[in-house]
Amino acid sequence: MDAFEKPHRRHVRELNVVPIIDMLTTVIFFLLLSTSFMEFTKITVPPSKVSTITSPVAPPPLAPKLLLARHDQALRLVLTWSGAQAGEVAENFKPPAEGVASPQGGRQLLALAQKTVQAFSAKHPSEKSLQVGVGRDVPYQALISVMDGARGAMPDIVLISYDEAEARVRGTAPEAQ
Amino acid sequence: MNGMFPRRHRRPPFELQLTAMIDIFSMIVIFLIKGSVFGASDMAIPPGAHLPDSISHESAESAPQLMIANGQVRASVLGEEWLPLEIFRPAAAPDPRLLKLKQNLKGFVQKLAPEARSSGVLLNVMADRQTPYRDIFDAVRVFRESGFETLLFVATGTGEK
Repeated sequence: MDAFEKPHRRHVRELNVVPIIDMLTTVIFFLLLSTSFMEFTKITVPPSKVSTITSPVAPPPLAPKLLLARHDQALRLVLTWSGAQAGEVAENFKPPAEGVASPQGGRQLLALAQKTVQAFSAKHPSEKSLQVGVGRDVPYQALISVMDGARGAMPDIVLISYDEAEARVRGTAPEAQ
Repeated sequence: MNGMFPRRHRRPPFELQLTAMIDIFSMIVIFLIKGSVFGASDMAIPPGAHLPDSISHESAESAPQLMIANGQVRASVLGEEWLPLEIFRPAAAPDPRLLKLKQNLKGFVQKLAPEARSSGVLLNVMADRQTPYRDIFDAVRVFRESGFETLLFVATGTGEK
């Protein structure tokens, strides 16, 4: 035996990363294509409030109500309010062929609700609370569109029943165009 | 043998292909960041349901969920049980399942920490965009009577800013 024996040569194995990269790329593309990205948002309807009026000269709140229900085969949007100068504004809404729950129908309804509420808010800027109700068969998307349209000018929204919304809308007439 | 002190072979250095790995890991990180829903990770959309679109810019919050789909109602705080919507109608005869639900919901609300109740007990409402308002209102009415005060109507953003 030689005192200076030649050491065993260690065989260095090189990691073959190319197939791993191929695999990972395939997996990532699969995940990217099979995933649907969705942004969640929300509309808050806070607890109903009871307000106490202490000043005897302060006018009572107008309690405006924004209602949407079917009337004579069409949808009608009504904004009604009480007080010394009670009144109402009513407009017929003709949804597109895709329906009121379609993106286009939602946008049109939102614009109509926005216009109606902003006109009211310009005359009564202190009113921030709005009661919203829609008919029993009106789709959920229509409620969201109406609330979206109203919240810019009147952020405090209270939901009211479909019975009240339908009863009120039946007793109104559309605005003369 | 070439003598007493043989010349050692130089070991070839192990070379890791770092560039490709960095590329891949960057893509994974970006994918995970984009694919995460922060603060609402426990939201489960009913199968086949399409949430309504909204222009609201409020972020979704973690809260108990009320799911309304296919004529049935489920409260996430009470497990996987679906209840028929018909028992939620105001004119329906008192149903033991509804009474039990109300009792359980009230118990859940009472167990909440005071700070969770200070801004109103939150409820995430999730339903398909075609769901009639009657179904939404009747189901929500029961939850409000049971102590849930603030309703959060969950929708998908339209991307409009």
